[in-house]
Amino acid sequence: MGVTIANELMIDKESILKAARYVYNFDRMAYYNRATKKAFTVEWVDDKDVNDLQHALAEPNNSDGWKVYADPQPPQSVINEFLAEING
Amino acid sequence: MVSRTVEDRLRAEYFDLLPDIRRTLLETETRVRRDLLDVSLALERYERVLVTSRIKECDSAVDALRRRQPLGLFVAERALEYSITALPDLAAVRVMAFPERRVADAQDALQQTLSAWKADPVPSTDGSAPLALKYFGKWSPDAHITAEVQIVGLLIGLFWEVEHSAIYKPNPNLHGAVRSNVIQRRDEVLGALQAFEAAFEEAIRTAARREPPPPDPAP
Repeated sequence: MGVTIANELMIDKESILKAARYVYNFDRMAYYNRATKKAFTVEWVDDKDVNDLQHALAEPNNSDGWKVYADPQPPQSVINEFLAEING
Repeated sequence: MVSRTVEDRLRAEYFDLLPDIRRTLLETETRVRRDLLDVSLALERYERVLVTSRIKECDSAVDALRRRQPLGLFVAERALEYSITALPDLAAVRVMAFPERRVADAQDALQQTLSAWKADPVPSTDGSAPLALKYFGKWSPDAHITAEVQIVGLLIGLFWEVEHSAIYKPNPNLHGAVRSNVIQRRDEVLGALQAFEAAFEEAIRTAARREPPPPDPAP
């Protein structure tokens, strides 16, 4: 019995994130990678297609800080709390 | 003085609203049972229509609202913008019926009552008919609490009773492990339950065709 198309796509995107060494944080519903200093919220991953995700993964993070892919973008205080948690 | 956290404020709001939530649940369940009376009285021995109801627990409600925020975090500076009343399922009634035709009967019976509510069907695992029908609404324009009514096949509904609390409630043992493997297995179970219901429905139809016609009335 097949899975839903939406679930198939989500699992596909998860595989891409896993392959790129992104870790899933259940409480924050976000994937992150300390090496690339990027994080993706589940909502963002759900909303975007595979090409958008691959493009975002390939995009260089030229800043010193983290790049968070979220829509809407959370306030800096929330990003700081999230980063404190995952770096803690 | 230590200021209250967003969570503390929401917990206080929850308990202020609890009498309202209870009244909403009572009204929802009573109206649903009234609408289903004819269906329930017409059931065959092997058929079932069950109505269950629940009030979302305080911590579950706060957690559900938190998980709707970006990165699953409240912003302390926006504490006054959050309200438990944003949740559409504080008071929820689930109608579970077996076999499939009784799900359709329940839906027909409730159609008029729920016609003005927002429909949000749960999509199926294979793109066919929805797994369940969900409706959200309020019983009066000035009501604070949104109620949810869900209509679903009994087998899937009972599976959800276990599956939802295992997967969606906070459970540190499942962190990070629930997304692909468990979701794929869950979809297989849902597909199998749907297939069973369809096969059972077909068996009933076949049996009905084989039944001898009633004898002619005596002249």
